Amino acid sequence: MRKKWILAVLTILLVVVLVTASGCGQKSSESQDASKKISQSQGAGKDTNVIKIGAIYPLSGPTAQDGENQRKAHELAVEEINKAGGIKSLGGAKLQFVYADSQSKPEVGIAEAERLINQEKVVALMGTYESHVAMSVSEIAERYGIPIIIPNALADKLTERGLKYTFKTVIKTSDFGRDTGKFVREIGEKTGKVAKRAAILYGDFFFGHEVAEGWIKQLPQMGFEIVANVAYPVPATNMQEALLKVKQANPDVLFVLGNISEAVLTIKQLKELNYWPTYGVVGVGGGFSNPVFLQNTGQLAEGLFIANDWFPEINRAGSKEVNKKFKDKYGIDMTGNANTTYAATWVLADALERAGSTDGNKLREALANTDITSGPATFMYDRIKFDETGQNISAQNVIAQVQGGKPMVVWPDKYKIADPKWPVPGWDKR
Amino acid sequence: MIKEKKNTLTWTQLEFRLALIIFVALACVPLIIKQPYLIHIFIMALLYAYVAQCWNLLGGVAGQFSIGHIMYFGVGAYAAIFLFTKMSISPWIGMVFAGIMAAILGLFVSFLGLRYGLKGDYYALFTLALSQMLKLIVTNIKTLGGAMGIYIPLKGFSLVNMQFRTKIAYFYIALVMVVVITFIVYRIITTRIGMYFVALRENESAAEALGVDTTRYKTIATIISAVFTGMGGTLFAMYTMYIDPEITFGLGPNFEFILMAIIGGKGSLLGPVVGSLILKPLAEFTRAIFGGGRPGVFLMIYGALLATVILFLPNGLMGLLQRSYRQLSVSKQKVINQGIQEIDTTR
Amino acid sequence: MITAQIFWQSFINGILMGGIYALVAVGLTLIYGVMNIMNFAHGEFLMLGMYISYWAFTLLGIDPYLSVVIAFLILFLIGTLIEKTMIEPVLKGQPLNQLLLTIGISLFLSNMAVFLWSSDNRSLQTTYSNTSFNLGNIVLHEPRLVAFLFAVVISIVLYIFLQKTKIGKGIRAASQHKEGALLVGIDVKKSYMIAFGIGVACAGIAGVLLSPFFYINPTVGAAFSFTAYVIVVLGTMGNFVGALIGGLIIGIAEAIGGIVFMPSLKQVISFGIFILVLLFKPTGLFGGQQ
Repeated sequence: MRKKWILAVLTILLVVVLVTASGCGQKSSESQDASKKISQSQGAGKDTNVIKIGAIYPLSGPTAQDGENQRKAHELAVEEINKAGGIKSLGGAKLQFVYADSQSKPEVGIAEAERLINQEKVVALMGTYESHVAMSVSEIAERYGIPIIIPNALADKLTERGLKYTFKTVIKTSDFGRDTGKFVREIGEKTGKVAKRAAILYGDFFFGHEVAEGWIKQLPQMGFEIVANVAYPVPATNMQEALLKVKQANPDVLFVLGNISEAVLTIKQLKELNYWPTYGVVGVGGGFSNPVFLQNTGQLAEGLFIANDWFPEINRAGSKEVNKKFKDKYGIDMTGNANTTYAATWVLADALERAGSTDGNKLREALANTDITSGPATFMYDRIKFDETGQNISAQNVIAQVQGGKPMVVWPDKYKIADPKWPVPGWDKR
Repeated sequence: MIKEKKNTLTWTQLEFRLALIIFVALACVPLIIKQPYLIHIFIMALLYAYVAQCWNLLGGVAGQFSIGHIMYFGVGAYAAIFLFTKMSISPWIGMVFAGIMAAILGLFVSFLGLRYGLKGDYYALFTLALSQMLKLIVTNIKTLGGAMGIYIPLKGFSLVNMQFRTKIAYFYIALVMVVVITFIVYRIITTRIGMYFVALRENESAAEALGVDTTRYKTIATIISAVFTGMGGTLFAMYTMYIDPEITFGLGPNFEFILMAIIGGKGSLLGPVVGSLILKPLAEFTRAIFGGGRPGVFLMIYGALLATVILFLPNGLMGLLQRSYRQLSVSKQKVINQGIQEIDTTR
Repeated sequence: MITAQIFWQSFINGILMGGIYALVAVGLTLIYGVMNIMNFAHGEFLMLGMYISYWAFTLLGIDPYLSVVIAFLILFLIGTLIEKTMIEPVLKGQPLNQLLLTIGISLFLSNMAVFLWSSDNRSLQTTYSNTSFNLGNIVLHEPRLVAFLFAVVISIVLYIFLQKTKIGKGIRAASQHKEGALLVGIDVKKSYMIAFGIGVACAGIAGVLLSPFFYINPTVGAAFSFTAYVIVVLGTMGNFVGALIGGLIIGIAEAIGGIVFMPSLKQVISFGIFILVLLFKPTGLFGGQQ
């Protein structure tokens, strides 16, 4: 009696599953076609007014602040683009960003990307700040034939998968290795104080390991000897063991990567241990370029080199003006990748203008042929042109040195606003 | 006759019927809901229901405080994904392999735990420490992607690759897994072995005195639970397309699914399922409402809610229902008795 | 390979860090020993202590070492309040529920901190934050030394309190035999409240002592929570002196292990010790029978 009951319900269940599963495949593709048709037929009247672009960011959770920063950058650029007449080749169409929260989770990013594409009918995607989310979201963009511009996630892998619809304006993670090494070598040759022995110090997490790989690969090619290769746990309760391991190896220069907590601890505990490498310390990563870092370390950070792709104190046409606009509007400097996101929004506008269409294929074509050498986006890059993988070829880091409590760009020469002090003296000689 | 039968329906039997109704209703969900994001919430709820149910068998029914239970989940996820990404072996085979690996870990844990007589709090801390140690070890193994995790590439949509164009396929896989594990738990608690599990939970030494082979049944409970948890890890990884040590071994998701089981009602058949189906969407919607505002509000409310539920519903939602069901049947019996008495007196 | 100087420097660092660990663990072991409850919100009380010190310094200009008293009072109050309203009702319930309740409290507290003070990192910049002196060729960081000495003194004071005072004796009686304590007229509920309050306040004081040289953010407690558990088990759950010695052992093991192996693996060392202790001597170094 009971068994029959169970059997009956299970069969019903199975039938329902089979029917819906087999029906769904067809239905969803049909309904997609239908909705595409609708949007196209409406398109004639509607597309000329508003072009929707999807943007996926962590808007809740621990990195929500960073996501919010990117949103502000988009808004500023969109405001300017629309004020200047929108996309002229599309009858002065206005850009409109639709934001979605990834919650820092790839699976949520996927679901939101699908919603943006299917329901909001966005013509392109931008985002996602976090590399592991960007990895999955760009796959979705590829699947739907919608271009995605990544202005703020750095992982090398993003553009190394042969995806046709993925474009990345920002630097690669491994560029940190290339640019920090280049800087230390050049300044050594210039001053005669050549650093040979290098120590690398990084956190035991995604970004840390990726930057470290760049160092391990590139530093020896530039004539450095890596005398200490040290990973520390995240979150760290103490950096002393790691720093003592570095001290033991007695390097000329220390390359260190850290999130804000570990960056602060590194500098404080270098002082606690009264230790400073022979020539200096180069910091990499969000921890060091975050303005909060300098608030937390104060005087201690003086003389520290920081690598990032942009600083407010840089000698570069348009930079001051853009930063001022941003600061006037939101009260903060345009750091934490808001700069690259702002620039990339202009890149998208440029591509839309040239494509004269919102069709995914044509827009992709236009993006692939991007070659920008003037205009608002060049406050960030000399030239914007994508190689066949979709990576912006001229993206590179600049190096700033903390002087008078502010990171002043000192390298490369054409952007420098102050002269680097090298070597940086130890604690007792300051 | 029929009335009498209804009265003798035990709580578990009632729960089982309720479960069948819920599952049929769930199977119809994709017919009504089409939005990918909403489907996603349901998939996550089902995945959590599944893992919570697996935990429930060990933690709820057999009363072993496996509070580092996520280690089985993580081992399962990594085992299958390793095979899939490095050797292109179908995740379905990987899932079986995941179950085997989790079973080995479960055997190891119960061997050590029993060999050294770890009980209660000590066993709990032991599993917790082991799970975190595994996390650190995986973080430092390069072939497993280390801290960078493993990104699962699209190898073409097919059943063999467990990669599908629509989310609905994942929905049904997850649903079938929940149905299967719930059925297994039902079979266990209604048979002799379930009685032994409950005996373990209620009073171990008494059970032992009565001749129950506690070692054997603890090991059985651990291994069944571990195997299915590991298989859940595989599905989770294939669905999210990305795993790293924090997602698959972290304390956050670990306590989250234990929480689902507790709030739903641990030790009951439907508790973990109901808990996840209510809590997971609730979490998403509170996040949608409060998440955009000041950061922290959402999790603050979540924490407060958790504390409140534990304070006022120590046996979870199903515990509450069970109590009211009992009261109901008792009062029904009273009414019947009164009726009989009345008939008697009028005679 | 490792020079003597680096070794001894690590050793000293380990001892100093161990003192802080011990202070966190002392509070935890007190709560466990008396009430048999695993408090997973312990790290969050440490975090609250840090914020109390931070705000007292930046808003009122109160020196962190004076904040120890303020933090003790505030956290004692919070602790007793939480015990009375939330812990006491579940004491008779299932242990798993107790554990999850404390997890709920920890979730609430850390996110309350995010809500009130944002998730930004903060640092106290006192005049003595970075001062250190040399002892031979070993550098001693003053705030750490002070924190260590404080930790030792507070532990001793607590020990005397538990041994000699009436309340302390009541707490010990309640922890050893609840029914017996009730029979001889000890207010067990009050003892529990005080014990929990003191335990929580110890974590808070540890936070204050860390604040001059550590960063402060809402999730900082999590980094200390698990280590505290390792120490409590190592030094026998509920054993006071054990927690002190356990703290030093873990501190030294992490410091030395960190320079011998990779610092990122130093937690594997403490987890390893933890599991070995659980397996071979689950009652800890100072425990008799389980």
